[in-house]
Amino acid sequence: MLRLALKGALARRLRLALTAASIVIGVAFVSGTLVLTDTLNATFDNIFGDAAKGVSVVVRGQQAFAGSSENGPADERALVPEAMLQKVSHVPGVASASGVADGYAQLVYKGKAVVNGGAPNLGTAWVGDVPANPLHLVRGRAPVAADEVVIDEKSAAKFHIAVDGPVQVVVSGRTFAGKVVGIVRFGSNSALAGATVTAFAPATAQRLLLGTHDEWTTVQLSAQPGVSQETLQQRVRTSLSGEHLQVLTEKQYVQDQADNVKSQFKFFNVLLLVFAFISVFVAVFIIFNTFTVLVAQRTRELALLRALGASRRQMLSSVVLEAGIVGVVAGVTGLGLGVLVALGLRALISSLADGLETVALQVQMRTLIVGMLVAVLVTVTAAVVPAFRASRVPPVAAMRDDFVLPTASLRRRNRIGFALLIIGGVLLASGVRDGSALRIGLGALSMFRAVTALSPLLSRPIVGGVGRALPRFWGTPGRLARENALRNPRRTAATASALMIGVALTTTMSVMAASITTSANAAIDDSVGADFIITANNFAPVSDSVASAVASVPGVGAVTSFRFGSMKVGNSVKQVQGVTDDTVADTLRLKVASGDVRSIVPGSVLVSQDAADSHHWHVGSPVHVTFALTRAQTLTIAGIYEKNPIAGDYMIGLSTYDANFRNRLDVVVAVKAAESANLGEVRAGLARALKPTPSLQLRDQTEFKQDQKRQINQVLIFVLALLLLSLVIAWLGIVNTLALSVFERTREIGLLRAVGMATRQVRRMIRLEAVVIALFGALLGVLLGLGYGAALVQALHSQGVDTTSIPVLQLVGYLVIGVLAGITAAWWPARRASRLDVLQAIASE
Amino acid sequence: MTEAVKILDLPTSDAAARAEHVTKIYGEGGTRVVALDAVSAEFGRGKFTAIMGPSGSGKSTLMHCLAGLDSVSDGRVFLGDTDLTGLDDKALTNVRRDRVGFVFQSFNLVPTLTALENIRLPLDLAGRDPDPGWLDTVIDTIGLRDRLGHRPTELSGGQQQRVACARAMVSRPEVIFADEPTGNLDSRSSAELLAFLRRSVDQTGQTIVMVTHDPAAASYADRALFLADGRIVEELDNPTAERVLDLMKRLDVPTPTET
Repeated sequence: MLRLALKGALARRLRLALTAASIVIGVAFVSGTLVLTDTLNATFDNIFGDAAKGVSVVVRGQQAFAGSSENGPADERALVPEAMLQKVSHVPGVASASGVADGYAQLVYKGKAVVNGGAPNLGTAWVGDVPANPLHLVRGRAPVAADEVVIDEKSAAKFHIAVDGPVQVVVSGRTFAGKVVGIVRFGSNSALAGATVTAFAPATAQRLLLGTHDEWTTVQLSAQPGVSQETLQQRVRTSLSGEHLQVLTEKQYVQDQADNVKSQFKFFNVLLLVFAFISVFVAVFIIFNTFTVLVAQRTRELALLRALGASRRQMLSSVVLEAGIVGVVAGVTGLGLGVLVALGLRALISSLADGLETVALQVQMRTLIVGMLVAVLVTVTAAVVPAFRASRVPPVAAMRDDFVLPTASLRRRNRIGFALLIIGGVLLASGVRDGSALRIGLGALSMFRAVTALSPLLSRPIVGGVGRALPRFWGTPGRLARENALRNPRRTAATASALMIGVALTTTMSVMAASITTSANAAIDDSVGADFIITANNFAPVSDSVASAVASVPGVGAVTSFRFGSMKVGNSVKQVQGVTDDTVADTLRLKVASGDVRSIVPGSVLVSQDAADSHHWHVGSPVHVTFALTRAQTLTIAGIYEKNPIAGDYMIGLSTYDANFRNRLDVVVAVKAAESANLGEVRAGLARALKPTPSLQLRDQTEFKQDQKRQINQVLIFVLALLLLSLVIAWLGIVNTLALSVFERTREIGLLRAVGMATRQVRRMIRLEAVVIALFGALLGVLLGLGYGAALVQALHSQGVDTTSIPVLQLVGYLVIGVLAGITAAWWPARRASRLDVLQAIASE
Repeated sequence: MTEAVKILDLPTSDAAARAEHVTKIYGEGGTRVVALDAVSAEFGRGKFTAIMGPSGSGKSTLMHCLAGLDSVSDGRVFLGDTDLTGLDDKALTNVRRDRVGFVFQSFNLVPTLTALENIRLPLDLAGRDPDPGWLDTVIDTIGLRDRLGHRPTELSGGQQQRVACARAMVSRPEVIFADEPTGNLDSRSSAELLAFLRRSVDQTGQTIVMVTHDPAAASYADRALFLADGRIVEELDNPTAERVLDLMKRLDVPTPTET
């Protein structure tokens, strides 16, 4: 049987190659994602390992819980007092102990901000000539005086900053003139994962970055030879018992740091895997279709084998084996392609995060196994039903040329389809109501299956209807194209379904993006009272010196700083915003439900109506919260405001914020002009005030809205690019189906040619059939996508997405793309059909 | 009774179709097969000619060459005054569409089209409207007016072949080529179809060239050509089934039941 299957696969290699191509893309996607993930993880392990080389044990403050990086700074820890540094430096086995001071420092050189995309701008301490110092001087010397800094090699090269170059240094609370005295490398890298690094003399770093003179961010210890990390950790723990400090070995510390960064990439990886899954899902339709047609075409051959004594089992296994062979070939090709995909993605990431020096591609055994499993399992699973049908071919079919394989009745298929549609609808509706992503996903999946099951039923009215126009414009070829598309509803349906999935998801994303944009614009209109909004690139932090600088600009009425952080309410981590105590009512349009929002006194909190309702709070209620740094605290509700997407659920005054967070950096600074002020003049004044900090962007409300829209569209384009792959697979499916149909109809095409159909007309006939099938798929996709989009927008209602917006022009565009996909997919099959030798075609069986 | 094989070499004639020294060779070297060996023949206007011969005699090849479906290795083929040997695919397509009609042994009709649509197919492909009177005449002649809206699968074998004949006639072609048109029919349907072809020759002056191996079918023709080994070996005017059978026996042609 293996030999039979192998020979079969070889004889049909062109068709099987086309089929394999669909799964190759899916496997390449899966394996590429895995290779990339492993490579990035290894890169971060390497970078942080490099940075901590020479360190054995790290001492740092504790935090009550780990905040979410989406809510603001994830790490909120107490500093380590200098006294602790002195204490641990005397622990036996410690070779050297040094204090590290890390924080925000932004350089400005010749009026330009020294930035690298949205990567962090790190300020740190030059800890001197100890093994724990990750920085190595390449040129110049170490910083000594208060205005001296050393900077990373990458930034120096990018901005042509030489030793002795004068720079402006922006740190929390102030901006001052400094001097570059040296250029450093970070471990063996020229930069730390793309971050810009500015290092100061230790005392200067403490003062500028931490605002103290006797505390450190962490204390790093190097062990004497022969003392293990674990032994030293034990000793240091003993000596520090009773202090609220965490003692980590270098291994644990590196792991922790790398995990922090990895978790930010995790979303990206999961996203890629989701789209890889979609590609594989689409490929299933193509494979199923191909094997169904192949089995139907080989009915007589299979019957002959049965007549010669082959058992049903052998028939079944020969087709399954053939699928297995296709799967193995596709798996190997897909894995190879996956490495190329990973290379491409790595290059993309390197160009986005300039200076991220990735390690060699990590192709792990797990990737190979997963890739092969996906390829073989998917191909075999998709071929099982056709294989089963092959095994049902009776031997008598060998003797008859009009034998047609029995198929499951369409009535049963329709019943299953309707049942799935109802189940999917119920799941989707309940998922939307409760915000359950799982039920929404299952509902969507089940509705996909429902529509694919029902598509043969739908094909008659839709394909027939769309096709009605064809004879009018394209005569007999048009008429024949319509009839050919209707001829085998299952095949048309399976081909169209593959396209439908991609188009449906594309439409869903477009509807969501349009709705989010519309809602965000409405939210900005409704809730932002500020005339100007100041942010840094990618919502990187803004020094708190900016708010005070712009407050003194003539014509400015109110300035509000917005800071973010994590806060535990009960057991769940919530985002809290720290806002300037007495101006938030000017820059945000808060609709007061009860209490007062004009001024937030220390120890008080403003909450949204939603939060108040769900906790049964009212003005004056005590709210028990936990901060990572200061642990359990009790706040009092000063005011309750109606739902406001910008304000979120919790707002505290900056005084309260500063008492509970170490972070002093703003994310947004909002400016409201005074009543009488001229907006143009105020803007000019603000621009002048922001001149020393060129990384900041000054926008009015309209510009802010446009910027929001641009960011949403960027995400949309990225997602659409990923969905494009599933469209390519669907496109291959159309090519494949048409090629098979042309082969099947060789005699008919020969007859048409014999009675006078021109080659041009043959090509047109095939092309129009493809267009009808593609348009059918695109149409179903757009309709289904509209449904999904509307459902997801409903589900996002609580997140402030309250308007459903349908981007009609884009959707029309998708239909046009469907038509183009049909036209291009038909090119090769149409060419083949038109080149058939008439006599041979007529004579063929 | 038998006549010598006529070798005609006229530059022009009033024949509807003719072959001049047509040679057709398939393959090369060891697999080289001479299907037609310098065959010349003329098919008069308004005549019904049967081409007969055993399997492999070249009878189908001759018809394919005459109809412009196959190219010739040597010699020339004329349809009226048009030399088909010099035409490109596009011109040949137009010839097939406008000037000749075909009836094949089986698979004559496009399964997705109704009977009427199949009949009109050559005209629709050319984008021409049928002459309504003529279309009616053709439909009445085949006698299937009540089945016009049916698809081929809903028609019997005989009905399908009659629809195919109607399609061949609808564009008033100069010649109808029929390749074993009764090969898949029972004797009664065969007789009906052949009578119908005969009538169209007698009543409308249609020229028909039919390939067959059935002496009974040949008896409907005005003339029968006999091929063997790629040459015309005999010719009968006004053949009857008995005379054809006799001739076949004499030519040592097995009277096969092959197709």
